[in-house]
Amino acid sequence: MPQPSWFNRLSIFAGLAFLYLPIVVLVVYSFNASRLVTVWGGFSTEWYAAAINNQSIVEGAKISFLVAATSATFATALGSLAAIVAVRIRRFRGHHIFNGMLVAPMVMPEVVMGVSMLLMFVTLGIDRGPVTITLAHATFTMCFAAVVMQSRLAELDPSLEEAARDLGCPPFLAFVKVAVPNMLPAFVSAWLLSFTLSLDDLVLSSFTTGPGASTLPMKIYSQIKFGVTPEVNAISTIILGVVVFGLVASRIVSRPSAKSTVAV
Amino acid sequence: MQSYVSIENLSKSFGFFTAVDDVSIGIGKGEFFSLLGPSGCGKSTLLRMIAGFEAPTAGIVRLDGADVTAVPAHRRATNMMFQSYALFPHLSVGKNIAFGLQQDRLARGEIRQRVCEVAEKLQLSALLDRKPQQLSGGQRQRVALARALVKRPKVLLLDEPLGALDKNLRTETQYELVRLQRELGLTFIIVTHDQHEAMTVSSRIAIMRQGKVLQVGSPAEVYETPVSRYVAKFLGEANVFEGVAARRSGNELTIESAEAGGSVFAAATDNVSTSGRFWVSVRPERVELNKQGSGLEGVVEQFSYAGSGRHYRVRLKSGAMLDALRINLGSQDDLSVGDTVFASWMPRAARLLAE
Repeated sequence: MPQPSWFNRLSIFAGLAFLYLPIVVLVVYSFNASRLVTVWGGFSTEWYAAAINNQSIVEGAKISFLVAATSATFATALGSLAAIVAVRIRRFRGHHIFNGMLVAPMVMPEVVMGVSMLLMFVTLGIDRGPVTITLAHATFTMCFAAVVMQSRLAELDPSLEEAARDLGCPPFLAFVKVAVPNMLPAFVSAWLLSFTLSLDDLVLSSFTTGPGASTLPMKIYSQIKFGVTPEVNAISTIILGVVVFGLVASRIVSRPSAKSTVAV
Repeated sequence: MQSYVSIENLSKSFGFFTAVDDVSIGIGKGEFFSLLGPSGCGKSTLLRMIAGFEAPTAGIVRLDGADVTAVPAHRRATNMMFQSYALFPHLSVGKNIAFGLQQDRLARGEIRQRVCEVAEKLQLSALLDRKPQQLSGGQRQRVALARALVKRPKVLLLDEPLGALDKNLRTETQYELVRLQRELGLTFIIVTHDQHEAMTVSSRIAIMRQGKVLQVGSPAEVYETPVSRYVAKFLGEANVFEGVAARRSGNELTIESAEAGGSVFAAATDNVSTSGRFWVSVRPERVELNKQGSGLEGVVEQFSYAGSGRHYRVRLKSGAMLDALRINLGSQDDLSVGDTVFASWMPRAARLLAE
């Protein structure tokens, strides 16, 4: 491999710094002993303790995790069904429109989605709260789950199920016994991705929430209106940790070579 | 003779495309039957209809006398070996082989015994705990075969079973398949596009093109007495010249051919009328090339050395090309590119074709 020139090195360094320096600053200052956000006053974990003892924050975290876990489960289930239709049935009337609409929420402005869902919930007379947030999250994370499932399903040899049928398995059982075990990593991966997307969502949550149901990002957002405290840094760092863990885990699980490295 | 597998007027259309067009074949018990044809000729679709994966648009499939056209794949007494092998990646070799027996709810002891039996026959005993990903191509192929055979099917269907193997292993496996088929006394139906493979393994071959069966017969029958120019050229190589007029004397025909630029000979036959259009076909290995003498005059244009034989492409005076093959018996080669040669053959070496 050719050695990168000084210009290449500088570009990479500048690019990465642009992307990640704010996060590094955030993480570093979450361990700041000083009350002032911008002045370093020595190492301390007191803000983590403060965050964990902050009843309002803990309440928000509980709602966030509950919403994320529930919506991720729905999104994975619905996304899988959509992926099965898209990959297995493939050529049905309107399959182009179906495939397009499946991924459209990925690029749809979140504000538009938020407004439309708010309108829908109001029209249907549904009380807004954790349930409506969950529904909204499931809707927009479903397309990500579907894409993850689609790519895995497309890799799966369709003659596997035919082989199972040939060996005496009825069609549905063939799917359960052969396709599902081989899709397991994709299920986990889709769930984790949906979970992390839901966990840090602010816009959609704000539109679809009701009184007394504030997710963690909403709590943080309302706190910084009164100034950024080191406590917010600490909470953000914790969320960052969870999200990074989720993304890395989802990548590792969905890696196709992960299966072939299983020992004898 | 009552056919064991009987395909009666079977057709399959996908929209406007007819993949299999009114095919009727009878296959006897214990036969090693080949469906041979270029890709897209409908041979795989035909096999999948026998297996029950595709529902025919019209026609009947009979298995051991019973109409199984409406029986779904999982209840048919056929088993298939897939082109991709379709081994279950999440199961070990042993569990892959046992899968079909578990569907039949056999006792554990019997499953174990039958898996061990077939594993031993196919030299897989040491690999039963491995995952398919840890096997070589040849081993995977044997696992796929074992998984289908362990069910003791009435008919084993093989869809391009050796396509993924390299040439040496493929030849080896062809003989192995034939040995296994004889030993078990099973009926095998194989789909292949490799004419050499079909000739090596089969008791009979059906040659297919565009959804239709052109000819069914033993390898020797199909090679020696092809029904058409297409069959003659698909199965091996053939020089084909259109005839203009024929003169019969005893068992021999003398045919005037403008395409060949002279008179050629063929064995007399009553099957082909020489009043309309007809053709003469002769295999390259039966063409004799001499530097002097009689026959069709031409110039050696290309030469290739193929180890077991020497191929010559001769440009005839008429402008047509003639392929000739001299079996390499160790003698010196006396022909080179640019030489003028005379091509001839024994009358019984050539055949008359009506289409």
